[in-house]
Amino acid sequence: MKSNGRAIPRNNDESTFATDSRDLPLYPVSLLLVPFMVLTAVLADQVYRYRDFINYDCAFYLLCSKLLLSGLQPFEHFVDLLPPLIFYFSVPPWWFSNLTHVPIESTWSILVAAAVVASGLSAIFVLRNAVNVAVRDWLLIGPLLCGFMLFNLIVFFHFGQREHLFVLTLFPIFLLRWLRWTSSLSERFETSIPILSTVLGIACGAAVFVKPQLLLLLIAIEMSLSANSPHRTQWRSILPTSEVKALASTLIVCAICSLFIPNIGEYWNRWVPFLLNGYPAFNSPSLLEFSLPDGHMIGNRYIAFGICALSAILLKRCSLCAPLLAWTLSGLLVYMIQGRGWAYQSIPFVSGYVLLISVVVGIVVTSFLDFLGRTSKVSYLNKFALFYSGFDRVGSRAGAEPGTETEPQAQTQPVLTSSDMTKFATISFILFAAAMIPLNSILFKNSMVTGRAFNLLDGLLERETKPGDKVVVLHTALPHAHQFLLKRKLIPACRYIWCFPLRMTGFLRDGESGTPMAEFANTEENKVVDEIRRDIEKTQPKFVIIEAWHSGPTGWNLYQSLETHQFTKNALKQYVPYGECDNCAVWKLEEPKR
Amino acid sequence: MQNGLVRFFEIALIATVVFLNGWLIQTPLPDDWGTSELDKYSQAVGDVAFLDAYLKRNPNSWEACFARAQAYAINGIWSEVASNCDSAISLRSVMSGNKPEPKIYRLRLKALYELDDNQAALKDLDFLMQSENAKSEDLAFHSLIKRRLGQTDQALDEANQAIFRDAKCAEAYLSKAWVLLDLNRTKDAFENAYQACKLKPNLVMPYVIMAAVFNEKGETAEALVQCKNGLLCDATCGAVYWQRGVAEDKQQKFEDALTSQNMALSLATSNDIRAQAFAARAVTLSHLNRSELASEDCDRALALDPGNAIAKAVKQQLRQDN
Repeated sequence: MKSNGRAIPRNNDESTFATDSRDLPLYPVSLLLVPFMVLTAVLADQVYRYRDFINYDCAFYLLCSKLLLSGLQPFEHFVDLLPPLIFYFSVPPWWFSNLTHVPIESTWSILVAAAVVASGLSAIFVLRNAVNVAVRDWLLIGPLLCGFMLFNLIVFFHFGQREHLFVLTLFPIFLLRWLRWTSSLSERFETSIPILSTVLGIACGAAVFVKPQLLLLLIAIEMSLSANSPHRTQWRSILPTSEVKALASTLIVCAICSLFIPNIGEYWNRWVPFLLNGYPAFNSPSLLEFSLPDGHMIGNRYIAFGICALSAILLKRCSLCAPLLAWTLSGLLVYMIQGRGWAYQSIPFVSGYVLLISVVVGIVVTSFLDFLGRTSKVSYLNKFALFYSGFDRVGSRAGAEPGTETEPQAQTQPVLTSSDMTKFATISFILFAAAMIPLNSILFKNSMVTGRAFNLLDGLLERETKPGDKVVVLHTALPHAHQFLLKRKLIPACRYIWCFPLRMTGFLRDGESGTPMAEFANTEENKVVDEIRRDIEKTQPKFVIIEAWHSGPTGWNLYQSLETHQFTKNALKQYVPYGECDNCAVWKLEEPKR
Repeated sequence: MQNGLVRFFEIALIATVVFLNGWLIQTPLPDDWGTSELDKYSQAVGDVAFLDAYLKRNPNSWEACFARAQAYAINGIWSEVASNCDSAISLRSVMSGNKPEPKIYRLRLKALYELDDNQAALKDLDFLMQSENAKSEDLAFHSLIKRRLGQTDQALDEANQAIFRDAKCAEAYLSKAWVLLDLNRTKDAFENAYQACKLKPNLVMPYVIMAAVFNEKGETAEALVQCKNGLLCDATCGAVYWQRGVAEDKQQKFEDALTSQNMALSLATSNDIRAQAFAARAVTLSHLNRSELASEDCDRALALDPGNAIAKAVKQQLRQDN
């Protein structure tokens, strides 16, 4: 029997313990490592099967980071709405790709899969340092980790999205904070790998910085943990721990580093006000479908909300319910605040939901075993019921000084061996995993089965271009443009790789004229169209491809919007109309006449 | 030894149940909720994604291939529609005892028509006509293709037959309107286009025909209104820009007309519209005294449609001017 880092009271029999939470053995390593390895293998298989797949936004970061590597500058040669540090964070995959000659899209998937493994291993390490955990929480450790790994399987369509990376950094931090607030973290933790908590804090800080709205989740989880902790009066010692300090420092360092990004003034002075006013142009009227434009992960949403409600009832049954509910609801809040309804923005919510389900199913399974133990005459189950009910006794005097009440009661308690407890954990884990099998298809959707990027323009560009050619694809919702440019090694020759501003100006004007907002929109629109024209004149791309279909419910259309500025006449003087392809207008650079 | 075996069995059991979870979570199951509430793009994306995964596990399902073709058709990705219909047809033919399914041929011919592959579309149409399942819509398509191939009389005859068979077939009125427009029977063409528009308001081509009739009559403001209506139906329809250019040319807004014809060409998917747009651009260029470019456009139009009357006339005029 391994020591859990604390002095364990022993009976005469060396391996027998009373059912006090302080006496629980460490959670069985096989219930952590076996599911972790099996699901990592399934994930590896997924990475291999979809080795050519890359998400559109990830392709966008990589395209921009490649432009950075070739000496171009943000806001002059490429523009995006969110803090530009993500493009610098996306540079290392290019180094790996160049070093190993593995295509960039595969390199990206491999590195994200490595991040999943690192996150899982960190979580296991943290969980192996859980001591003094209440029995009912202790039994849910395996289901929780299993839920985390299952989440990584359903998220593959959005693999490496900023929200996904955030969840990878959040999960070990969440466990760490949970153990700290429940005073269940072994003293050994800080001594064995002292740097781990700092590394986790840095990683989470960096992930939060590229999508600052996610800070809300951290705050909500922390508040929930502290509110439900018997040790909340000790917040002065629990709050300023190494991971929190590292996280806060990383946010500050990232903010300082951002000041040195070229043209950052343009971001704050031009794009942030523009974003604040115009981003609702992409708002969706059907937020709660979690499915736009593609790749949703929630199964039946009514059941999903039902489970969230059920977990609220179970709050007192397990100390994990409250923080996971806070995670889920704050994830939902962040998703709703953003207003787009895009499936990937629901990742923080979905991850909380998957973890919450794992815990709820775990509670139901263990409660069922407990019920059987109380009602049946099977001695093993009776033992389980006694083991399980030990929680109430221990839980009711949570925070009491060890030894004050335990000693007299311990004499009347049944004696359980550590092997018994390990078996109880194993049985409840197997039952949990078996219960999840039929529930999977009702509760979750694999985003690879609900998401698909149509290979639009592939045929045309494959036929007509060669790697290194410059092309301009002006679009607001073309699902495949970034991936194709990346894979085909084409160079985006206009700063608006994602041409979001014109949809925003169209929204801001919204048929009105003369209002300050309409004036602002007109000024911005003229500026943007002029920038596109200058970029095309300067770079002379081989093709200019313009999205021509109606985008959004208002019937707004990029091609028509550009044409109100006589775009084809002014910007495409050297281009000839090539014909429509996949609902896009295609213009080709005129070959010089011989 | 016994403990070791128990341990091994335990680990194998844990691995199995966990693996089953991991495997099942990736297995496609029908999307049973909410898709009807999604916009058509998301619905098609979800359907195609689901069917991709489904076909990996059931590669011989012609139904899935056909369903995927239908999903692609929602967003007008016609090359994918045609190739999925090909797969559906070949898979179904391999299955003994199965008669060819007309609905697959019907969808494929629509895709082939959109892709301007008229001969292949005709083959599918001939198959449908020979079968007992020919619908009025099939006759209308036959008529449209015959018109594209310059067989105007036959096209008119088939359009009439289609209307006779089903008086509520919008496509039949549309095909008749096209033929009548080619025959310069503008009043009849307008009436048929109007009827098609009433039956199916989301069809774009009736607006093009009505705009063409207004342009013929010199009522360019009305023509522009029809073009605007057409663009609301389908912003990617090059033919609408072609008629808008014609109206602008008649209003002597030559630069605008040139832009519209360029947009028509940048969105053209079929050679008949391409030829018309080149010819219309040639007219505008000749008005702008850019004779050389106008002549080039006439040549392009005639190469695509040797019978294009406008291109011939402009070419003739340019020769005389020189």
